[in-house]
Amino acid sequence: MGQSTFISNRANRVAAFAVAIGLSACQGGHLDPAAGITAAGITAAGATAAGATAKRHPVRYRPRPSGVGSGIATDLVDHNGAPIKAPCGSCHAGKAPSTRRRSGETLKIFHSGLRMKHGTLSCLTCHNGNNYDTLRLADDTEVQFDALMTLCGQCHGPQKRDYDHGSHGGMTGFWDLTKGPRVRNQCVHCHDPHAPAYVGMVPAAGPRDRFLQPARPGHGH
Amino acid sequence: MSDSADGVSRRTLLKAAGATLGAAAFAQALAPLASWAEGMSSEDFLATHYKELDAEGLKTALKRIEEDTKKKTGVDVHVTADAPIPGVKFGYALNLSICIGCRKCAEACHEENNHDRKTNNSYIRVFEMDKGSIDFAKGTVDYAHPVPQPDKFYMPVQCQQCDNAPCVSVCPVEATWKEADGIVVVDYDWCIGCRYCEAACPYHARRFNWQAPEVPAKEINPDQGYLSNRLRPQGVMEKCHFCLHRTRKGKLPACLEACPTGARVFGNLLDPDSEIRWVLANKRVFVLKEELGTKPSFFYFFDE
Repeated sequence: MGQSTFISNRANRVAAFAVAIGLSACQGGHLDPAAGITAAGITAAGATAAGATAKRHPVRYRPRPSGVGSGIATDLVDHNGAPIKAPCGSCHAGKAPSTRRRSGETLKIFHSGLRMKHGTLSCLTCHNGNNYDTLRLADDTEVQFDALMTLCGQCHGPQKRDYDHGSHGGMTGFWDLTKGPRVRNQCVHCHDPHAPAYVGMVPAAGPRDRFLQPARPGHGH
Repeated sequence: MSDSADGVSRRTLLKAAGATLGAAAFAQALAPLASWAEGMSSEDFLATHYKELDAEGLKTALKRIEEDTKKKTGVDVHVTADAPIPGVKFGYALNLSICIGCRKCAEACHEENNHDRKTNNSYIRVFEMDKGSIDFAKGTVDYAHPVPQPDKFYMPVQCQQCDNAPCVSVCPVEATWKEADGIVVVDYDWCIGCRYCEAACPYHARRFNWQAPEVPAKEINPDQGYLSNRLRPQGVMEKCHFCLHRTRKGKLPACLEACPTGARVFGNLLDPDSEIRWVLANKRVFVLKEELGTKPSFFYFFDE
């Protein structure tokens, strides 16, 4: 019922417009663009443009997906119900690093489903054989999992460059950092580091409007 | 001509009939005016053009929309009318090399802007086209297979916020205009629904509300803007407004936040340190239908 009132109001206004046109056709435009009367000033209009000396809010990384990072999932949960991860070192500390392994497929206990599809890299290209709870850069520098953007960027320079300039990788928050912070996806939010090619997805629903209906005979465009 | 038996001439009879019909038609034509007094304020009946509203009038108008929406939908919404930020001209760029055609942008637009659920309306259409050419006629927008397909590329198209906007110049009532920050807006209370702008737009970026958009009350986005995503009435045009109720508060547009790949770059064209300026300076950038001279503020680019 509210709907139909709405519609009839609209119809009224259009009808009234037609009447107004008829009655005052010679009065000219009802709007003077040069008058300079605008709606400015209601909200934060006085604010200066971005830049100046205003404080800038931070750009943060979105937290890594739970599967990526130091530790391996167990079926235990802590008293808050959060899954407990076992540090990598709890197994690896007592084992010699396997420098030639390139995949987890033949492993029997852990990492057995891990299929590598990342060029000719081996596990120890990125994982640190001296401390599996960290990563290593190409020059053997030990880095934390937090530094994985730097690690990926060693080979994927153009992508890292584009990321650093905001043209690769999703984000949320503020374009104007003087007004609020921003959160950036990391590489691993979209790319599995062990098989980084984007796997694809099912798209969101498409439009269902009349432009998709076949043209009626005689009404073709 | 002879008089009829009871002395009334045929001419008189016709005259009387004509007068009766004429009066009826006139009454019919004025019916909307008669119903005016019932449920409407005079402000609602002949709303003032947005640009003619002073601060006080605007406050009243915003309150009226909020109350109206509450009455019609039961939802408490907050309607703002953010002014353009001085020193800001918005620009948008889209990386065709990494767009995967997932339509998350169109979906986010749909939800953010209170679009009609039945038609799944959105200000963004994502075209799937064969690699090697931009041929919209051969593109499809209603694909439903997994994306991206290896032999296809994807091109989301929305309002290009032209500096020389054909839609603005054809509007007979100045219900659509370009704001100082480059956004082309529509005053839904002033639009008469003639659809000239829809015909004039070479990007098919404008949508007409054949019916009032239907949005379930619990899905209505309560953060609304006078010139953007407030609930539209039937019979008016609408279009992408760069989410001005968000972007004029410094936030990113909804379509960009939804983009999983980061194909979308938004920012201030007047800020030489902005991401959008880096893209314009460093990427292979083009605008759509450049030959028409519309001067879009929306750019497409490729990596390498």
